[in-house]
Amino acid sequence: MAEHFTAADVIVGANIRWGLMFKMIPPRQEFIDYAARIAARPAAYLDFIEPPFMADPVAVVVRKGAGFAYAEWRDLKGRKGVTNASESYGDKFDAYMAKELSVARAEGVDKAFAALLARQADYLIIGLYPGRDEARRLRIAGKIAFLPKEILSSAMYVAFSKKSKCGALQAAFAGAIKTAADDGQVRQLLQAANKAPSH
Amino acid sequence: MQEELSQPYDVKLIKLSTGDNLKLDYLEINPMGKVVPALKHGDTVITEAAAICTYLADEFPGAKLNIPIGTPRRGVYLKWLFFGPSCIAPAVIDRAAPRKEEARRGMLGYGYFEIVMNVVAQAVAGRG
Repeated sequence: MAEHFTAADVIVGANIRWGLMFKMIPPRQEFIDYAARIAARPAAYLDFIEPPFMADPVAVVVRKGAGFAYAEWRDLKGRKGVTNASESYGDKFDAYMAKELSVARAEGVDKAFAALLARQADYLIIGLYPGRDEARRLRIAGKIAFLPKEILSSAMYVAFSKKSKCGALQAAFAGAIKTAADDGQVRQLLQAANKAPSH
Repeated sequence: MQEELSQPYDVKLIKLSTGDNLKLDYLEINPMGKVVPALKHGDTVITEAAAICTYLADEFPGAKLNIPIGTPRRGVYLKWLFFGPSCIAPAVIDRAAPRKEEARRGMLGYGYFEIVMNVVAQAVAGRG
């Protein structure tokens, strides 16, 4: 694969980049070097901007008044959970969830929230920000509570399309992202969005 | 793949959070209702990522993304095209979401996670 880029590199390149990004394959030097070569190809499509601009926490949601003390993953043991069928939370928690927890997979966020409210599950696992937004959309925000301690948190990046006519602005954009993340602008925007009605 | 071909294309997004992939409209295109892409090219509809890439690479040979039939390297090329969905992806997903009961050795189509990683590492470094 190394000397002539082919459709096989489109497939294997996507596997390797995706695996490294989600920490699902070992960060071997061969993979890192190959991922860098793939990133330079049109197939990679996006240039990710360093640094990350925000954290994306994954939360535990419960019915209002039916909360429990949650400080670490093992506190979920012995309770029934639910999450959206298509979600992954990284290799470590996915593995823990499969081996140690009882978490049902619902076909879509609506059904996952419905299972929680119907007492078919004691807790729901969902991204904090999309979870808040979906709860407002479903008009159930008053019936649920997000436990204060997050399950885990991932870094979120802005990306430029390689086709973007603004590619030359990437360095300046990265600087502005860093400033916005460091001085609290991003946090303020998230807080304001959390108070706004769902659209 | 479309970007490598430099061919015009339209993208239609499927919203997984509302289960669009399981609705009738999409199931008529891909009865598996899976996240993998589906391609419509003329009257041809293709699903499965490796099949789509094989088809497009052969359909647009000017992009030189295929190894043509009759070329000795075609075999190795096809192996790596299908190694991703046959071995890498299942090995990685199996490791991320382990079974409650471990599968017997040799039962899994991809073999062993560590061997898959070693073989791919050699190949992408030009040693395989």
